[in-house]
Amino acid sequence: MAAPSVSCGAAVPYRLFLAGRVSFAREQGLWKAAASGLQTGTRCQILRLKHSPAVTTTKNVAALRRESYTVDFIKKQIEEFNIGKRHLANMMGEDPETFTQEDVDASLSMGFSRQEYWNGLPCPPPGDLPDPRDRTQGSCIAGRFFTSGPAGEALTELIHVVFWRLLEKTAGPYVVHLRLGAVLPPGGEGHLETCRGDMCQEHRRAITYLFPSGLFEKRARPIMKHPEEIFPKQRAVQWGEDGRPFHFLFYTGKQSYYSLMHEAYGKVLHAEERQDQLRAKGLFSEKSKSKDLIGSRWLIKEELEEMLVEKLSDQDYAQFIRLLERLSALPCDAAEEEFVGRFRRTVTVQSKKHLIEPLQYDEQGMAFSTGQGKRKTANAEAVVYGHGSGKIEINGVDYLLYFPVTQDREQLMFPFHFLDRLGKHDVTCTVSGGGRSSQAGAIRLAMSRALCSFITEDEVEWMRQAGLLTTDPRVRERKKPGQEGARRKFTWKKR
Amino acid sequence: MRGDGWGEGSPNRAFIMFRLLQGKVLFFTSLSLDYFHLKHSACAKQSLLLEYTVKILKLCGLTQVRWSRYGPEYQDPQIDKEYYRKPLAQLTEEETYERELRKTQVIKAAPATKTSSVFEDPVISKFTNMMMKGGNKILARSLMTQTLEAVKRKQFEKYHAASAEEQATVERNPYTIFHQALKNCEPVIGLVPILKGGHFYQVPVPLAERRRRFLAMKWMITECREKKPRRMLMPEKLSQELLEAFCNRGPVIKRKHDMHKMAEANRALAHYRWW
Repeated sequence: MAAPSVSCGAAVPYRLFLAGRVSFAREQGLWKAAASGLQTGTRCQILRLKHSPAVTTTKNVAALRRESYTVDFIKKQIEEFNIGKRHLANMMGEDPETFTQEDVDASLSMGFSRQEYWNGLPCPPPGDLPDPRDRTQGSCIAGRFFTSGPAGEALTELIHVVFWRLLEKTAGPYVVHLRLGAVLPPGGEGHLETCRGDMCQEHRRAITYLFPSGLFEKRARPIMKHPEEIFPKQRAVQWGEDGRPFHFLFYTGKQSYYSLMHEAYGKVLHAEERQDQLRAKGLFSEKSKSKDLIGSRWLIKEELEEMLVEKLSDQDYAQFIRLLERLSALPCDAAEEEFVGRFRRTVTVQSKKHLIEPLQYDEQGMAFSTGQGKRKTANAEAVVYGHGSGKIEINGVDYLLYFPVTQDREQLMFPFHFLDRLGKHDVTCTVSGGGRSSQAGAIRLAMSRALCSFITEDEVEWMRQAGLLTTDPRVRERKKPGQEGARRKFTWKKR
Repeated sequence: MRGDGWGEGSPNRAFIMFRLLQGKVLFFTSLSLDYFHLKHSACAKQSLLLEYTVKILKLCGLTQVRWSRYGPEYQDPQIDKEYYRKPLAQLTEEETYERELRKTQVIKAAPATKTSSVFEDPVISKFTNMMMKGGNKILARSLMTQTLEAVKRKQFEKYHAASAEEQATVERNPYTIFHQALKNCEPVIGLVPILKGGHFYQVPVPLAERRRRFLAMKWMITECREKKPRRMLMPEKLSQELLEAFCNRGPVIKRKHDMHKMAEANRALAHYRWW
């Protein structure tokens, strides 16, 4: 990277001296090894291991180094990806502007039989298939940006094979009604027409042989990934041909981070100056900026690292966030707001993701709602009726008999008491598994969920904030080997 | 009857254990990984590792060893009904901000011991848990209720035996007696053994609020367990002690005074404290 540091005069000969000593010692060792080898065979081996020859083994440094991609290469990949995406969308009959992975999945998941699937596909006859590694033709485009999981490797190869043969066989523009991947004619031109030639039996068999049944598995399907996601972000070379770095902060080691801090601090000073000016004029007024602080959060350290393509320490990150908070506390103009906005990510404002079931009605016209709940190993299902006298029946038994302990009954009462609906609902529930406390907790959760159908959205949010609608994730911790219990260790004995 | 709220505090404070030496933490994690290495398949191991990830906070070299099934983003639930029933017009700016903020946060499940009931008291719950032995909450809770009943009965007897003027001074609510008694037992200053020059010195140290509450309850329970006559039951003894502490008499109060005297005696060592 940088030019090697110039060592002072004394150090260099010292290093040579050391090297000399080492090599001398090695030579001696070798001598010793040879000498002892004459006496005993086994010891010689051990010694030989210890005193290995001074010849260094050459490592394949290039292979160990991370593969770096040039900017042009990435640009070309992105272009090809976009073109291929548009072509695939056209072929599949979708709108190329809004074509996403879901469309690819949707088409594949339509549940056709395999024969129907591959209808209309001109396919090479089985048998004389060329070497799959041969990627000289442009058909490799299909494989490059349509990759998938473990099954995809083999799949990619097969796609290469098929399309290579296609190119061989057909001249001029051709089409593949294969809903797998994009195929481009070598020149990359436009029109592709669906070729619905009659497929012979052998072709069909070839396809079913070539393409593994794992294709129907969602995870084995080709994934349309933008090259940005495939090729990791890397830094371009930071210095010119003369060895002089481009960025003035290069020698700090974290040039992007420090330049960002520099920029942010400049903005802070600017904002403070403006604030002073406003104060001097008497136009300064306190304004509250709490509106967007709730719906968004600062980006986390990993996200910042990704953005800057640089490693940061926790202190660096904390410093940066403090600076941004300081900036956001000052009166900002549009440019500064935009700058701060770059480092904020939205947060789901309402975390009530559970759906509220609509009310159901039984034969008598009574409104009821069901809910399910779990706690440890207990599972409960509760049916809450709209009108009632506060009777709770569990597994056909009254709650007073089923739960003799007050604490459990208090848990049953909790959701109703919270909503001031104590004597107004009847509940019938079934519960199994767990112990008495976990059964009570499971029923409580089931009842709360069922009650959601009877109450307003605000009240649902209150219940959520009171912790009534969350499944308790705590389960019994397993016992570990070498310990008596989950945490308790065996008695320590000195001897 | 609710006691003064203890404040739910920040989420995992109770579950956080700090280790000052990072080496120990690493040892712990490496051990735990070794155990699972051979026994489990890859996916099981991954899930276990996910379970047993140690959250390392690099704040001033302290590391957090205890973990929780809830992630760090989970907030404690707010169970108080009145908090939600308050009309929006009466809320201050901070409260509205807090409300809005809570809407974006994920909340933990309410524990099995907490309800919105009016009869629930955090002090009583804590005391019950401290009295509990071997996880027998049912017994602990029944002892607690019997204690409060005994206190109430004694006070009512006293009330009926007293004259009209004295009746006004007799406190009959067992909850107020309980709270006041524990408050009277709280020490203000405590002693901490500090190692200096190869010797441990008892240094007087101001105690935090929760430490004081804890000590008061601990002394009360220990006193009742140890100094109880053989045939006497716990509720009876405890009610006796509570009433005495309420009147600033009794062995627990004496112990508190002893602690204060010791602290006063070791006043000279106060400069050993560095926090």
